[in-house]
Amino acid sequence: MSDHKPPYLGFGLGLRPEHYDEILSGEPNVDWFEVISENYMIPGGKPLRILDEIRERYPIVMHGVSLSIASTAPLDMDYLTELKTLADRVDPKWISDHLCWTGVHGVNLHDLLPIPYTKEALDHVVDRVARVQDFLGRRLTLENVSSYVTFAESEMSEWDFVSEVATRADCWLLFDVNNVYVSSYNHGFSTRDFLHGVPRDRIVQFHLAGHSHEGDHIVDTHDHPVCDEVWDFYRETVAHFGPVSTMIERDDNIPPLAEVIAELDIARRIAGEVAEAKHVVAAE
Amino acid sequence: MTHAYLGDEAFSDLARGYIAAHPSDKRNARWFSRYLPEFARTTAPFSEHREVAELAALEKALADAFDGPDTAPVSLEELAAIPPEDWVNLVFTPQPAATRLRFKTNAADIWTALNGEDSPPEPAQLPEPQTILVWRQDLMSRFRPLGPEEAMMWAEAAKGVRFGVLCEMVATSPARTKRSSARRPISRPGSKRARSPVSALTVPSPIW
Repeated sequence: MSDHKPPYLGFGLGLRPEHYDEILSGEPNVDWFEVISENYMIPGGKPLRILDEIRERYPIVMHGVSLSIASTAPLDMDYLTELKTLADRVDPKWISDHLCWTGVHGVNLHDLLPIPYTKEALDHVVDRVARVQDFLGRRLTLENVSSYVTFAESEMSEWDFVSEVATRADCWLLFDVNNVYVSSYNHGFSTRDFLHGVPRDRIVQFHLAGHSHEGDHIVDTHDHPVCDEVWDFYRETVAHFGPVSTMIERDDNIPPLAEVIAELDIARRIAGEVAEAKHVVAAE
Repeated sequence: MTHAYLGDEAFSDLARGYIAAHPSDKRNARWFSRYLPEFARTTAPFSEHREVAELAALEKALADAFDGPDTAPVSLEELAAIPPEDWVNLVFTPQPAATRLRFKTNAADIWTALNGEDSPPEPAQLPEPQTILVWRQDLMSRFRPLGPEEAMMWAEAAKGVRFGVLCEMVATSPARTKRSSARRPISRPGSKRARSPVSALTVPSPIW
């Protein structure tokens, strides 16, 4: 496996079928696209044809939602084979999925479920990440999820667990800015503790998304624009980590492409302001 | 369309019953609904309304055709290049994404009305079962009913029966005497329809 950290790609979007025509007929100001791996793990037809066309023009990153890396179920070799087949076709800059489980005992729940942050779970996940990386012949990138419950058995913080997985399994991290915000609200921890608790040299991507505020808790719905609080935390995140490939996820209530790009431009502006401020400080 | 036909409440009942009976057994949610037509066909109260299962089957077939395996259809040029004397031994292979459904109700008409955002016709039993051909053309899924002769020809052709034999069968088919206006199974070279759901054809040796 290459020791090189994946390249900085700039500002991207999640590729959604609603935007196919606009992307292919114009030259939207998007630096790269992230695709949901499972949506293209299919035999053939239009989705793969479109993906082939888009990858000719833009760097692509693959993002899975059902690797179930933390499950106690055996690794699904059929799934991994399909994932590798797609990766061979797409040649993504990296492949990511979530630090969570999505099913057990032969049943898939199609949700990103939290794990107890114990030493036993850590050993389990580290072993599985290593096996998946060996099979794929490349490093995985793992994302912190939004969660709504915690385990009394947990022996460490989420950020310590995430950091240990990255270091021991030698994988990359996708820092989901919105997920940290959502989980910090739901569980009452400090976003800053999380931010300062994960290793900078492992972070290859940021996610931004909107959520649904339900009063006493927040649900990670990806159906709203990014909120001000998450933009503030993004500013703090960029200031801490420096430039990292950033993208916006929108999975429901999907607006026209121009609207999502306008949101992406906010991320560009914030990252630019942070870089400018650092430059000024350095010059002084 | 099954959802549009049933409305939110009945579809929710169908979906909840299905989820309980068939927990997701594939990582990719793409395949989760694959047992839904059979579930609707065999589970009350939906089993008493056969058009529901047929609507679900049509939706599943259209989805399967949409992202099914890529195969190049036979082109008009390829068909036209076949020497006339070889046609008798042609064997047609349907596209892997092409399927045939056997409908006892007017589910295809219901689908068409709903797809056009029109009020669907009342569900009705057909006087005779109807074969629906579903395939992919130009990256889009399509379907159309087959006449009795055409359906028979498809069934036999898919078994590998040679074109010459197919022609003899259709010439003596009882369906032909009943419905002389039935469409041809595979149109003549020169017709656009000819390139649709047939992906490959082979002429057994010793022809070439």
